[in-house]
Amino acid sequence: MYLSKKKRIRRTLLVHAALFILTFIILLPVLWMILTSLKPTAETLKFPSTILPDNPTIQNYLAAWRNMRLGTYFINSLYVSLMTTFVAIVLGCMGGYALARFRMKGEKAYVMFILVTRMFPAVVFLIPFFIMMRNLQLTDSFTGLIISYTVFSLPFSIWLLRGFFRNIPSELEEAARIDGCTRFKAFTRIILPLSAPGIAATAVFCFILAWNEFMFANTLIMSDSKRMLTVALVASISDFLVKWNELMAGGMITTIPVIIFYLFMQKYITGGLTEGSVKG
Amino acid sequence: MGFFLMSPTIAVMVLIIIVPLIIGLVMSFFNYNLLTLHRGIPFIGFSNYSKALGDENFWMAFWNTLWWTAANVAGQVALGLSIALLLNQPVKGVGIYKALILIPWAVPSAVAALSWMWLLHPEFGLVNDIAVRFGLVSEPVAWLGSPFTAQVWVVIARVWKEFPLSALIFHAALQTIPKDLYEAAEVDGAGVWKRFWNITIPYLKASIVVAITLITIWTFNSFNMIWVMTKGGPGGATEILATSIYKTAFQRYNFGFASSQSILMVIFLSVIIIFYLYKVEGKKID
Repeated sequence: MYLSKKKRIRRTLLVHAALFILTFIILLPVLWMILTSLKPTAETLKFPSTILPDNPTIQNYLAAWRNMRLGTYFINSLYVSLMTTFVAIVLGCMGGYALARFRMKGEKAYVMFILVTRMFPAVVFLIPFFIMMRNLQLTDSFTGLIISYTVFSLPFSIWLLRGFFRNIPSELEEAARIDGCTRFKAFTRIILPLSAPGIAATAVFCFILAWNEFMFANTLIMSDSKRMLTVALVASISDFLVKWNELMAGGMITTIPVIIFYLFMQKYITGGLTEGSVKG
Repeated sequence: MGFFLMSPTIAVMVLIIIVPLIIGLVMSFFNYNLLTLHRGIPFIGFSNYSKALGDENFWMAFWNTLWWTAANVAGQVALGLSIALLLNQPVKGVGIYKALILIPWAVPSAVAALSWMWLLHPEFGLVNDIAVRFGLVSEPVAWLGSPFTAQVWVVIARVWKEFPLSALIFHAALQTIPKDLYEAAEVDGAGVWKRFWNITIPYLKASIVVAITLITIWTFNSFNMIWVMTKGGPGGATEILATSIYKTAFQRYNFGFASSQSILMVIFLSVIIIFYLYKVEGKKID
């Protein structure tokens, strides 16, 4: 570097200042959600607002969990998201492995198909799904919702896993098979352990996809007790009196699991987000 | 063997993707609604399509979708690129910001929409608070209550939620630029702008194309933020194709008409999808 020390320090300060201010503005909606969730109701109805809560309380979280029945919805969302993830990973491993290792007729068309389905508007699937599910009596059921979430998570997981499996040299498997392993054994003993981080990352993405979903959950589930978290939160704004502090606490409860996943999976997120859309 | 492994996946994909798409296509040729449901559903050919193409509301939603998409692309690319450029500066300790700016993307869109509704609350919202404090408005405004401000704020809300993705795409691309290129240019006396236009932009071109097409497709398809924040209102100002089709299907129960509109939506979208497949992915799938 040909920069003088003084110039370098100035640049560091400038970049940090710019990033700090931008990040602060960007995080403001989230900070406001946190601050609101800690305020007693009276404080949320003040204008101009108290920026920091005068009397911070965690009462809203308890109220959201009990009164808004978020406990039930949390379990619903958890169940549906975990099941969706399970289906997408099992089928995705098979499909991804096949696409990564075997030359097949129509492979290219299939890969294109996977890509294209990821680009279709969800509402295009929603209408026929609603009709199908009603005929199969799967509306208002978790099973119906899990099946429909597979539409989005399966192409996604196949695509990601294909990439992860491809990165493992096939020589490793061949060596194992020469030593007498069946292909299945070679897969479970070599491929699975080596691609475990990739599979975990894919699982997290599938989970988040299902956890965050709103449109299908809003349409295919009718009864109150079977609602997903996101739908339950949105439904509560049509209440006569919206308690924004409790609603923001509910928003935090919905968001925190996703953020925890993020912190653990940070390394893979950059790759995973853009994989299949940027890299081949 | 490969086919054996693929077959369950293919079977599932056919059942949950191909079959629904065919059902949707077939439905679009029938007068399938709540009234006809129990008396037999009449086949009406292209009537749904001609009805949609002659429908003022459909075209309003179409133009709204175009504006909504264009504004989102511009906003997300501009913000994403600025952040990515800052993150790419050879300065210690910027990693923490990279983690922090991802947070909006992690917030479920329904929750993000709710938190924006609260920020924009006509009486107690933070946006009104700030605007009043700085004297931008004399009294609180119902931002989502009038057409123009509603259109602007739904775009801001969604740009806020989605820009981290383009920031990441651009950041990844920026890191592939050899650092000595900049140093050499600097030694040769090229200023910041010159370096930006002659080094950064050419290297970023491919990922900018990717980002623009992907954001276009995703925004065109998006539903959640607008649905939660405005339901397409006020007076249809934020009505996009996705919300309009949803209303036709699930509020007016006119499934045939809604299907034809959704097929038209796919046809519009396919222009971009085909461009994307040929320009971006086509080269990479060997």
